[in-house]
Amino acid sequence: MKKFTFLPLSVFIVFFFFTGISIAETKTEIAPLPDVTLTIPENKAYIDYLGLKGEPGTPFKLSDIDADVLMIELFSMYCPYCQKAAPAVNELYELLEQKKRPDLKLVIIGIGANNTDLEVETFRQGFKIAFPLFSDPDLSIYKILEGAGTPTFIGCKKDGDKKVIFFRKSGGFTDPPEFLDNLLNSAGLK
Amino acid sequence: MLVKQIAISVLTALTIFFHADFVRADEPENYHELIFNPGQLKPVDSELKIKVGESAPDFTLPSIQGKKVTLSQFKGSKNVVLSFVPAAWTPVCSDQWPGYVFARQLFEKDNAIILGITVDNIPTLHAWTRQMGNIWFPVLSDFWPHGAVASVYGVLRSNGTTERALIIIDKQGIIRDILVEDINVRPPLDFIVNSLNQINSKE
Repeated sequence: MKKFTFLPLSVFIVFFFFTGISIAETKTEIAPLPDVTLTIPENKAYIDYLGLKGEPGTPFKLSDIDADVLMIELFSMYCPYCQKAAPAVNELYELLEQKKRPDLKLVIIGIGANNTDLEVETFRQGFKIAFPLFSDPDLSIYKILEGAGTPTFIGCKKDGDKKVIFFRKSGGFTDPPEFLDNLLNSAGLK
Repeated sequence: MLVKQIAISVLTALTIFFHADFVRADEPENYHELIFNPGQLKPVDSELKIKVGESAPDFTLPSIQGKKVTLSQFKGSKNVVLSFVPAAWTPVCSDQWPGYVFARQLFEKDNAIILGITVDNIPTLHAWTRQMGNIWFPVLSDFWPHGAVASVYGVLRSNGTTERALIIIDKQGIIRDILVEDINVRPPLDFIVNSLNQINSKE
């Protein structure tokens, strides 16, 4: 019996190591959401989803998106990890839709880093992505948002009359409900 | 006794931890950790020896799929996109072909096949492309005589790697478009799609 007494301690140490890594990947400090300008899409459903007021083809800022929590995915059509993560991200979108309430608007968008419109559209069609995607062919948005590889997930929330980044994660995920829990916990919404 | 138990516990934990880490190294998530970063390179370092409108020089090269592939075997049946990339296990190259793997339908719609070519040997190409998913197009090794095909096309750089070049060849074997991209930059998919659309619209 005695020889097994070290096992719980081993399990604790392993748990400690892995938990430490997991926290390190997602921990972020609250920072202002930088000014990023995009173009209002033609698709009326996207305009409604984003809660935008302007006309298609005119510019808008990320902070104009009407959302209590805005998740931004920096992705690339060329990135095998983004391809692998795409079904889980689609599931996350569905979960966000299910969690929506009149007083809680949850929105996700994708930004194709170093991708042309055609490459973004190819990715959208290939994975039947329902949420809005935008192209960032010269990586300017990726740099402003301080992307760290693709995919990178950046969570933003309201803070008074401003929007702040409260969540960052580099790399894909395989458990969308768990990812959503982490996101909402970090936003203080759970 | 307690010290011994703690020591065994720590060793056991470390064994499990590092074993888990090793297992994860097999997964694509760690693919990028294997990539060598050569830094910023001279954008173009060769002189083209082919022109649009000429017949594409024929060649035969071994593929990672096991068979030798000859360019002229596609004559009369498929448009061909030659995709030269500089070297396996380097940053931009490792992101380029996974996009072509994903965009397969675009190539098939335009009745095109890609022939991916590097100067690496077959075992290296085999290991490198394993991480890219289902490589549906032939990946060819221009390893020996080193860079012979790249040299004929004029895309062999002075250090023995190739340019990042796309050469679009129609079903008659005629070169219809050439892009020798800055080696540090991934060429847009738009170049291939537009070229193929143009070929097909004139047929």
